[in-house]
Amino acid sequence: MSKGSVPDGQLMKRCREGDTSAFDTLYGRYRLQLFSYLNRLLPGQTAVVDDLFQETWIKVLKNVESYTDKERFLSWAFRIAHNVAIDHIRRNSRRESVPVDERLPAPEHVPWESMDREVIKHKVAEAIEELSVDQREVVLLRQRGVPFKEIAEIQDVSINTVLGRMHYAVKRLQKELGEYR
Amino acid sequence: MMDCQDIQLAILEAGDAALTAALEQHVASCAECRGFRSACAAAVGSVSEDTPSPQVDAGVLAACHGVLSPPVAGAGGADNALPFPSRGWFEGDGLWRRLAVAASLVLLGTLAGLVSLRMRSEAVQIRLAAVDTPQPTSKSAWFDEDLDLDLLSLEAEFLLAEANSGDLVASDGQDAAGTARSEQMDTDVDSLDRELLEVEVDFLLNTEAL
Repeated sequence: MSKGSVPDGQLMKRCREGDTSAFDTLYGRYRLQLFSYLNRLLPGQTAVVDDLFQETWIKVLKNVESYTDKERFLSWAFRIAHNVAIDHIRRNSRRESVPVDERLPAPEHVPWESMDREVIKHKVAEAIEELSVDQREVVLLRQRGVPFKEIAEIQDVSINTVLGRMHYAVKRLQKELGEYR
Repeated sequence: MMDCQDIQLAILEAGDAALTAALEQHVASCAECRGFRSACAAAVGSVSEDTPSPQVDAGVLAACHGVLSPPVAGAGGADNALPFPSRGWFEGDGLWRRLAVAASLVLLGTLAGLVSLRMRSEAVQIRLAAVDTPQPTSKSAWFDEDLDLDLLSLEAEFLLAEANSGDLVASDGQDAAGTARSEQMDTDVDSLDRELLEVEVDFLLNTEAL
């Protein structure tokens, strides 16, 4: 939400009253974050992501009564998107899993620090795709500014589990990037 | 004493915030932790958002506008029309609502049952009363009407005869004619008596026959 604009809570209140323009504003404000989150969480499943993205927004409206001003709209919406995505994954029984190897060797120095920013971005995206869904989700939510505490609520796990997932993800990324010397 | 893993977790938790001097000192001297910190910054910092296609945007907006203002059934949007005003009726604090509706239905059912029982009881009482006191059949009813008509016509004749006799008295002094009319009147009265008797006999016979 940019400075001086209508607060999310007020827009949600207007949505509750059936105000479509309030919804359009909310959609314009957060469509990229939610779409990217789903698109990166389920890479290579464009049609599915499109459907889940729509389902997420419909659920946002159907659950509009349960939203309170106390929570950030984006975290609340991510929780809905998370549930939609996890439901889809369970339905299709295609839960991806990457064997956990907490002892990944780290490179002695950081050669990729001199890489072009766009190249790093691309490599990070590739490395994130290799992670398990849970680990990937933590990184994606961190990228969008969701605190670890809220990620723990979204994933319904302890904050230590979330930190462990993030730690593993970063270590793996460190390894992947280290290969591009 | 913190090991590298503890320090890396501290790096994660700190996010963009600065580390303590002790941690900074460790990171500066540890290649592994320095690499981790850089990887963490790259992971969190390299955000590029994907954009939904215009078709997806249009589809989402259309679907959501439909949710916000469901189309009226039969107004071109029958597929999206909801059979009930809102599904939210059963959501949220729906437990109390459901209980209230269930209680109302039970109450309504009980009342309907009581009314039905009462109506049945009245119908039975009416039937019992009808059995105790036999009502005239259609035949006897017809006979009563016939008798009433006979009596009415006899009364009319009697009144006519009386009126004629009045006329007779009014024509003062004509004895012969008066006598004749008086005799005629007696004859008429006798005839009326006979007819009345016949009617009564018919009535009695018919009543017995019933």
